Formats: sequence, C-alpha cells, structure tokens
Amino acid sequence: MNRLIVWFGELTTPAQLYRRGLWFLLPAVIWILGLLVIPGLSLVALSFAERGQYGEVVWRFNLENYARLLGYGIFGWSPDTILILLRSLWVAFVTTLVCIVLAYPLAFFIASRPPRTRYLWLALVIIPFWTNLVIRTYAWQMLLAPDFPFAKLAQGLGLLAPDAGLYPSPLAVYIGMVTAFLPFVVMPLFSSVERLDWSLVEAAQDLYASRIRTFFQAVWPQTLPGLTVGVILTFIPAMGMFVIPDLLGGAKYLLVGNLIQQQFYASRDWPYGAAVSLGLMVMTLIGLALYRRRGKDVDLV
Amino acid sequence: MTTVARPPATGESLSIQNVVKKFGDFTALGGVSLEVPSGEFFTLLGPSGCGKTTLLRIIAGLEVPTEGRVVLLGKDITPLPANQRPVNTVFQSYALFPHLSVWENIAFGLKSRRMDKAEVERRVKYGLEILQLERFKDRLPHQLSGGQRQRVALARALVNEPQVLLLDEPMSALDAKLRAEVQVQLRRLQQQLGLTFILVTHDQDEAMAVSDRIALMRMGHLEQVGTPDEVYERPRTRYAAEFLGAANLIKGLRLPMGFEASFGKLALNRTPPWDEGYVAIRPERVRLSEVEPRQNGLRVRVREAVYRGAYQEVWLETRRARASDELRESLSSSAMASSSLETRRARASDELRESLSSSAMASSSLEPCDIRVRTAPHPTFQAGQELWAELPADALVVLDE
Amino acid sequence: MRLNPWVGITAIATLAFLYLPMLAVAVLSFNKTRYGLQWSGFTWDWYVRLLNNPDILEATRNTFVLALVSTVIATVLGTLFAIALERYPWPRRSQGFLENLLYLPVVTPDIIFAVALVVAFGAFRMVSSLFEPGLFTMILGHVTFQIAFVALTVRSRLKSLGHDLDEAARDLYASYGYFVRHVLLPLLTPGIVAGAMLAFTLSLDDFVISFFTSGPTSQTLPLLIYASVRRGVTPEIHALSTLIFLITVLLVLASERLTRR
Repeated sequence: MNRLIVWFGELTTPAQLYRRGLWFLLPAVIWILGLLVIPGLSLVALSFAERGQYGEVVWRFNLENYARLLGYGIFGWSPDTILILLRSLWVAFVTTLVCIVLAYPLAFFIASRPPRTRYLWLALVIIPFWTNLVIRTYAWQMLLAPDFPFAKLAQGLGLLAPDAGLYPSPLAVYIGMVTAFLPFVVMPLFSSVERLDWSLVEAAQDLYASRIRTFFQAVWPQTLPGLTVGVILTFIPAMGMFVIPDLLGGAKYLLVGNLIQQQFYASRDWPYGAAVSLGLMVMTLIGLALYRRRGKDVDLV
Repeated sequence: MTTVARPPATGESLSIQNVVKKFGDFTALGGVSLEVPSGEFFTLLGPSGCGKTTLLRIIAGLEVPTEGRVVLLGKDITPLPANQRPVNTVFQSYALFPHLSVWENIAFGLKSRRMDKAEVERRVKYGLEILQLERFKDRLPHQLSGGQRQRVALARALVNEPQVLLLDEPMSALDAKLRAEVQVQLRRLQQQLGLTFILVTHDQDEAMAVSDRIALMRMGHLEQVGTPDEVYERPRTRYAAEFLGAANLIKGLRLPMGFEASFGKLALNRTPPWDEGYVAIRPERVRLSEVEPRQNGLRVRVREAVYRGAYQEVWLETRRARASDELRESLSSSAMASSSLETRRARASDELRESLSSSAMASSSLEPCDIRVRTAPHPTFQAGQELWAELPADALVVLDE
Repeated sequence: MRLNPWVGITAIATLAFLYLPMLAVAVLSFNKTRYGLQWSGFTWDWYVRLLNNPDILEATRNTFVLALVSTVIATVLGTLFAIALERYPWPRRSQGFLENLLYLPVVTPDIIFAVALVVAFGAFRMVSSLFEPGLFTMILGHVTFQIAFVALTVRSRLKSLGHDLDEAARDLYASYGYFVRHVLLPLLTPGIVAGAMLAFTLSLDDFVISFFTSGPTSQTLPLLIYASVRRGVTPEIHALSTLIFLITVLLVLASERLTRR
C-alpha cells in the first residue's frame, strides 16, 4: 500500500491514489446506492409484505404476492397474471421481429445514400427517437380514431363496426410499439451496415448465389453485431413498456407495466406491485443473460 | 543567440547505479549501471523488450525502479516525481497536446512552472527558431506533418533547458529518407547546445550515426558500452558482433596467439581466453587476392557474388582440411553437450537473428557459405572462381562469449 | 452500392410510417374547429392561446428547471465517476462492482426504477418532508438515470486519451492540479458536453419516472399532455406537441452538426 508507484506519470502510493479516487467515486456511488440500490432492495422487502385493509402496507412476512403472481388467488388458480406476463413477452417478441424486418431496408437505404446526405437521412430516424413518447403515442390515437381515414377504410371493408376506432386494440399497441422502437434497431444496424465488407457480397454474387442466399450468407453474418445491440435495446424496454399499452391498448390489452402501475395507483396494493415488478426484473435479467451468451457467439462469427 | 544553461563539464552528469526493474515475475532490468558524462550523446540500443525504454522511463521518473538509484549531477533523483526532475522527454508518440497550438505546446513546461511571461515568450521564440517552426506556431498538432510534429516535441522539451534530454525512439514514425535527415539535424543540434542526450533506438545505423557512445542492451542487461567504432570494431560478444552490422563468426579451438577453425589455423593478436569459442571478422575486413598472403591466407572458392553498386558482396566457400572435418564434428557434439544456459542464450540469439532478418546484413550463419566478404565492386568475381582470402590478424576479434 | 428498388420503397414507406402521426398532429394544430377531425380552415389561434395558458407555461418552466438542474448535477457526478473508474487502480473486484453499478440504471426497466423510488420516497418522507412528491423528488430520480449516461460518454472519451498526455504533462513539470485544469478538462470537454446534451434530452423525454415521482405542483409538459389525453385532447395540445416536435428537430440537427465537425 505504501510502496511507490508511478500512475499516469504521477509518483504516488496506492493508498494516496485510493484516497483521492474516493473523492471522485463517492458522490456518484452514494447517489446510485441511495436512490437505486436501496429503493430496489426496499422493493424486494415490500414484495414480502401484505396489503392492509385501506391500502396501507402491513409488514408481515409472507409469500402470498408471489403466489398471486403465479395465478393463485382467493378464488383459486386463474391464468390472468400469467397471461399478462406471457403477453408482455409476446408483445416484446413481435415488436422486435417487426422492427428487424423493417430496419434492414431502412439501414441499407441510408447506407446507400451519398455521404453528403447520409446523415440527414439518419437524422430523420433519430428525430422520432428523441420526440417524447407520450406525444408520439397520442398522435397514433388521433390517426386510429373512428373518424380518421384509416378507421373509415376498415369500417368500409367491414373489418370494424361502424363508428368504432382502430384503438384501443392489440393492433394499435403493436403499431405504437414498432414506431417507438424502430430507431433503436435501425441505428446500431446502420453502423454495422456502414462497415459492411461488400467484396464478400460481390464474391457471393460471382458464385451465382441467389439474392436470398447472398443476403443470408454474405450480409446477415456481418450485421449481427449491430443487430444484437438493436435487439436488446428493443426487447428489454418493450417488456416493461407502460405508456403505449396504457394509451393504445386500453383495458383490453394489459401488459406488465400497466399491472404494476395499477397496483401503485388504482388498487393501492404496493406489496403485490412490488412482486410484479420483481417478476419483470427477473425476465429482464434473463433477457440480458441470454444476450450476453448470444453476444459471445456473435463475436465468434 | 540565447544561452542555454550547461551542466558543469566536470564529472558525470548522470549516473545509473545498479538499477533493477521487475514487473511481477518479469525482470525488465537486471541491475544496470551506467555513467553518462555531461554533453554526451548517449544511445541505448537494443531489440524491443531489452529494457531500454524502461531504463529511459526510470530516468524520466515515469517508472519507479525496484532497486538502485538514479543520480543527476551528484544528486539522487530517484525519489523525485517526474515533474520535479530537470529532465525532459521526447516521446515516441510525441504526445503533443492536441488542443494546444504549437506555441502553447512549446510553452507548456515553462508556464506550468509559472515562469515569467517575458521569459516564456523569449524561450518559446528561441525554440521555434532553432527548430524552424516559426511558420507553424499557431497551428494545432493535427495540422502538422510527422516531421514537424517531431520538431515540436523536441522544441517543447528543449526550451526547458533540461540537464538531460531523453529521446524515446523519436524517429520511428518517420520515413527512411526523412529519418536520415533528422539524424544529422539531431546530432548537430546536440553539439550546438552541448546538452546531454540519451536516445533509445533499435536501429543500429541510427545509433552509429548520432552517438558519442552506445550502450548495447540485451534482456535487461548492458551487453557492451563504448564509442560506435569500439562497439563495431571490437565487439565483445557474439550478440554485439551480430547486432551491429554483419559479422563472420568463426568457431574454433584455442592455440597460443591463434586458433584452429574447421578450415585450418589462424594467427591472432592475442591468445583467446577460452578453450573453444568464436572469433569474428567484419565482411569488409576480409581481403581477397590472387596471390597467397603472408599470413592467415585461405584458399577459397566463390560460391556467389552479388554486385551492389557501391560494393560487391561475395560468399566464399572454405576448403575443409580432412583433419578439420573431424574437428568440426567434435565441436558440434561438444556444443550439444554445453550447459542449458548456453543453449538458452543461443536460442535467444537465434530469435534475435530472426527478428533482424529484415536487415540484409544481419545474418551470418556458417552454412552454407562460410565467409561473407564485402569488397570493392571491381573486379567482379565469378561463382566457382578460386582465390585467396586473407583474414588479417588485427581484424579478427576474439569474442568473450 | 446497387439496391433493389423495393428496398428504397420500403425504406421510404417506413419513414413515412414514423412521421405520419406527427404530421397529422401538426395539421390538426392549425385546424379551426375545436372538436372532431374535419378540416375547417387554417388558424394560428391555438398557438396564441398556448402562450396565454398559465398551466402550460408553468409546465414548460417546470420541465426546463427539472432538465437543467438534473443535468448539471448528473454531469458533475457522472464526469467524476468516469474519471474514478478509468483513472484509478481499483482492485479487480471493486472495479467489477463499480462497473455493475454503472450499468444498473441503464438496464433497469424505467417502471421498476420508478416504483422503487415511490417506495423509497415513501420511507424517506418519515424522516423529512423534502421527499414529498414534487420537483425535488423528480430531480433526484432524473439524476440517477442520467449519471450513467454521462459517465459512459465521458469514459469512452477518457479511454481514447490514453496515458501519453498525462506523462508528457508530468514530464513538463505540471502538478496534478495543473494537468487537470490545462490538459484533462479541456480534452474531456467534448465528451462532457455530449454527455450533458444526452442527459438533458433524456430528462425532457422522460415520462415514466416523472409520472411516478411528481407532485401536484410539479406538472411537466409530458405529464400535462398525458393528463389531457386522458381528459380529451384539445387543439392547444396539438399545437404544444407540434412545437415540442419542432424544438426536438432543431436540437437533433444542431447536435448532429456539432458532432460531425
């Protein structure tokens, strides 16, 4: 500890370095510990408590909230909450998939623009990303409203009851989710496409590979790093999304985010809300772990 | 012209005393001692990983020695941090501050010591002058060429009037032509200022061109220290002989005032200290003639002759006396039996040779051509031609190991 | 690069899909009728009313106070954190712990972070009334997720600097303080500014954490829009959204300009 070292050109001892380093470190660490780690732990503690008669928290240890999360309630087992969890996973999955399908043409299109205008096109993708989500979501409400052309068209085709809107509906949720997360996939994908080695594509074409084969053998593997980042940036926040299903899904299409919000507002059942939150956190961590393993595979390709 | 403070000309300017540096289990420097008189252009020469840069960084204060002392003008500076040592460095990457102009870069060391404004102006102006940088003083480093950047790095160090200027491979980023020019400039600058320069390089030509003295380093040790001609003409070891230029290494057995090689007996100026060992001769010291020389003549056949314009390179095949074949066999078997330490050294020098294979003159294996000669381009020799080669006794260097 | 024309068509259609909703809102913000979506003539009225609506002005003020204060705090803490992580020889284990702490706010879904804050503030209120829902609690929440983004941005800049310049400054007689003031900070500035801009935009953009930590007097623009969407949108909200969108466009273009130079 007291031996002399030279660190970045400075003659000092580890003890001295640590002492100064702590001044740099502690403000942020204390902040994050106090406002993220401790709240997180209190959420864990809360999930083992009980809701009182008037919505207050009763600190009596029990596992009932977790039993409810798995569907066991006072009226026996019901699949409702499990359904909501699975639905959240499914929505996140579909959103990610559609985003990927739409992101490829967009990323290639932007990469094919001349360098002078390329960043303008990229900015076009970034702008919605920075526009407030609440605004973008309510804008979709307008577009999907009963007397707007889209709904009129659906009504005319007999897909929709007269005077009904396209929202609230699962479709509206998907539309909202895809437009919200598309930039998250396009941006990392674009950075992979920009670095693409086109000689491989030409080689594949020289070997008379079909377009589809060329894509999957010469292009797809090269874009995997960017795609993986895009997938994680989409899938994980999509599972916990709350604004979009709230505004576009209505009561018909609840997701985990809405369930949590209900517990903290309408139902005033904080302990159960905490348990649901931890369920979502577990799903997130599983997603991250899978991504890490997959990420290693990507590096090998 | 502005005067630059000169260290007193008496005694050693810099003294390295038994410096050891270990990085974990790896010993980068295994006890190095050196004396560098003031005003000398001193070069640390060696392959990468030999510890030369570590030694330089220890002098600069950018590395703490595990053992040993660094004494500057009689004062032990080992406990001083880099920013309190009257020593400045030109870094390999130049390490110019990218956000500061050339002028501000050069002024950095003066301003950081809160030097008087007028003095800063004066010294920076002087630095810009001697390195011909006046025109670029307002540019940022990224607007300069490699050579200009190097001059800024040099000026930035020199204006501080350091007792010792350290140069860490300052020319490795320059192309070959520019490098040769800069070497001459650097040498001239050092003589003009009379400062102590310590240069680190892996380039033996560079070392020979600029240095007063060279320290050849190998695996954390000093192999040989001396003036360029001493180190070149009188290498002490096989490693030294091979690292600086090309050398013919001839293996043989001791005789009084001579030795016996595979091709016969040769006279030497002294009796070798070993029973069995190596004698070296530079290719340009071998004389070729049609008539048999008085001493140390060998009847040889030209295996190959390569015309190189300024000179001619000839590979000679020596005739093996029947008796010498036996000798050779006995030699090689004894070499096999030699201690593991020696084989390890031999392996190390093999690796070294490989690493140097890019320089054409580096290798000097005895097979298949026994003697390599550098001679005047005319008359040209033909392969198969038989002639006499003379290995003059005063050109044969007995190697210690 | 030759592309199948269908790729271009799909790309343009996708972009249109992204912009269509905003376009609709912008058009409606100039519509004369208060109710319904029928076009009945052009007007600036809603924009004028916007400027005279005290609630909206109040929310705008809150939004910017929140974003500014939280960005300043997060930029200072995040920059210090980045330097601590990158420039100090922490033992391996501590370094690993710190790295995880850095990524925690990035990977935690915002709704979980928000309800955790609700729970924690509930407990803290027993100690001090400062933790009543309001601007203060919102700032605490925003800073927590901003720190990580600032620290990550500054750290990547620090990584690219290496240690040559530190050594050169030391060799040229600089003390630690002199080095920080004249070399480290000037060179980090682009990274710090980029991190601060990111933090500022994240704060403006946030809805979920604001929603859970706000109080009756700390309405921000996203909260206000959300509330009026529940109550029934008015053309003023269209006008407000259009303005916010235009400001976003300008910010994005400006920051693109800055970073491309």
